[in-house]
Amino acid sequence: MCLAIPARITAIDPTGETATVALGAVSKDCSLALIEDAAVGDYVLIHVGYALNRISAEEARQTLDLMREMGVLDDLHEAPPTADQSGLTL
Amino acid sequence: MTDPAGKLHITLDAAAVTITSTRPVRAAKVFVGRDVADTVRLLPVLFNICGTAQSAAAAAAIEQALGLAADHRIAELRQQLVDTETLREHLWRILLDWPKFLGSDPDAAAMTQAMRLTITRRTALTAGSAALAPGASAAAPDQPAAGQAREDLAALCTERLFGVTPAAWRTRVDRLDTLAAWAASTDTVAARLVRQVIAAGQAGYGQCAVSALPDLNAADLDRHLGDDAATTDDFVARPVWAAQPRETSPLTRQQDQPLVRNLATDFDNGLLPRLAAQLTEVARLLSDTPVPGAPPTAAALAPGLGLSQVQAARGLLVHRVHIRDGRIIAYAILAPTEWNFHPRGVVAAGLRQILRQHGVDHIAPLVRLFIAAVDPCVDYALDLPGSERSLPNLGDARNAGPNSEF
Repeated sequence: MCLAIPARITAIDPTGETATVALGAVSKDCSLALIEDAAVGDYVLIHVGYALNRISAEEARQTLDLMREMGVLDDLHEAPPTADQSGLTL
Repeated sequence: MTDPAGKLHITLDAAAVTITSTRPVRAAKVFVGRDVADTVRLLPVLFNICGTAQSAAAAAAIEQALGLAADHRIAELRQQLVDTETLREHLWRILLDWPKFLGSDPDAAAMTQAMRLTITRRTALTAGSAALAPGASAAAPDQPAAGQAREDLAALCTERLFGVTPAAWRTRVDRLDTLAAWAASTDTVAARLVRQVIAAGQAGYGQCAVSALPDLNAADLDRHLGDDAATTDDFVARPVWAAQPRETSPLTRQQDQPLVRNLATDFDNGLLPRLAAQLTEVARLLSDTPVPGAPPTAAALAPGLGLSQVQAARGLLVHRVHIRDGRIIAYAILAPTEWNFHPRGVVAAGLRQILRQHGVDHIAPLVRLFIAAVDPCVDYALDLPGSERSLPNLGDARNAGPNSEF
C-alpha cells in the first residue's frame, strides 16, 4: 500500500547531494544519496525524502494518472507529463 | 500539499495515544473495471515501494481467480524475490534510520551499495523472465550471479551491521548476554543502538498485550474482504481479528528464533526484541532462509475469486481479487501497516506503556525509536505533549531526507 510519488528534478545543488523536485505547483527538496547520475529533467520516485530511482516520463504519467483517478492528487491541479522529455512539465 | 502517499498522525498526551491515518487504503479500487493485463501492468507502478511483494501477491490471487495452476518453482522464485526486497527494506531502516537515534549520519553509501546489489540479485533471479506475471512458467535463474550478489550483500552486512558474518552472528548471538557482549565489542550502528537501549534500561519499553496475528485461511479472510464495499473498506482501514487488534511484523515472524525467544522471556514484545528481530531477519535472509509464516492460501473460494497472502517486509500482505469475464470487479489489499498502526494496535498500546514507563519528559527520541522498530511504510507526523510538541523530527525515522513532504 506504499506509494512513491513521481516528481521531476528541477534543480540540483552544487554538491550533487540534494535536488529540488516538482510535483504540480509544489517544489520540495530531496536527497540524491541513493541514486547516481541524476539530471535536471529526470523523473524520480520520491519516498520519505529520498529520490529512489529514475522512471520514464511515460511511467510518471501513468502513475500520476492513477493517483488522480484515486483522488489523491486533487489539490495539485497539475498537468500530466508528456512523453517528450524535452518539454516536460508537471 | 496533501501527501498522496498518505500519512500517519500519532498524538501523545499525558494519558493517551491517538493514531489516525490518511493512507489510501482503498487504492486498489482503481483497478475495478480494468482487464487483468492492465491491472498486472499498473499495480507495481502504483505500489512501487514494496512492488515485488505487491506483484507477487497480485499474481497469486489472479492465478487462483483464473484457475491457473501455480508452478512450485515459480512460487519459490517469487519468494526469493520478495525476500530480497525485504532485505533491502530492513537495510534501509538499519543503515539510514537507526544512526539518527545515535546522533550519527545515515550510512547512505552503504545503502546505495545495498540497493545496487539487491537489483543485481533480482536481475539474476528473474533472468529476463516475467516471474511475477500471473501464469508465468518456470524460469532458469542465473544462480551463480544471484548467489554472488547475496554473498556481496552478506559481506556488506558483515562490515556495516554485524562485525562478523551474518551466519556467525546467528550462531554466537542467541540470548541476552551474548547479545550484550556482541553489542559491547562491536562498533557498528546496529551494535551501538542495541548497547544504548540495554544501558538505558529501555529493553522492555513498549511491552503490551497485543498478540500476533494467527495464521489465517483464505476463506476466513474472504469473509472480511468481500465485494461488499462497506465491510471491506472498514476492514482494510482498521483490521481486527476476533475483535482484537493484532500484530504482523518481523517480530512475529522471528519470535521462534532463539535470540528473540530468549529476549521475550524478560522483555516480551518490547523494544529490544523488536530490534533483535529485525537483525535476526536480516541475518537469516542472507543465508537464504525463507521468511517464515507465509501460510497456505489454498481454500475453496467461488469461481473468479482469488486470495493470496505474502510475507512482505513489514508483515503480512493480503490481496483479494474478483474477476469476471476477464475484468476486475473487486480488488482489495490489506497491508501490515493497518494492523500494526491500528488505533488500538501494538504501536498505540506500546507508546501508552512507554508514557507510563518513561513519563513525558524528553520522550521524543524514544517514541520515534519505538515507531521505527515497528516500521510504518509511510511518513508520520508526531504530536507530543508539552514543550516537545514543536520539536523538529530530528530523530524521525521517516524524515530521512531533507524533506519528507512527498
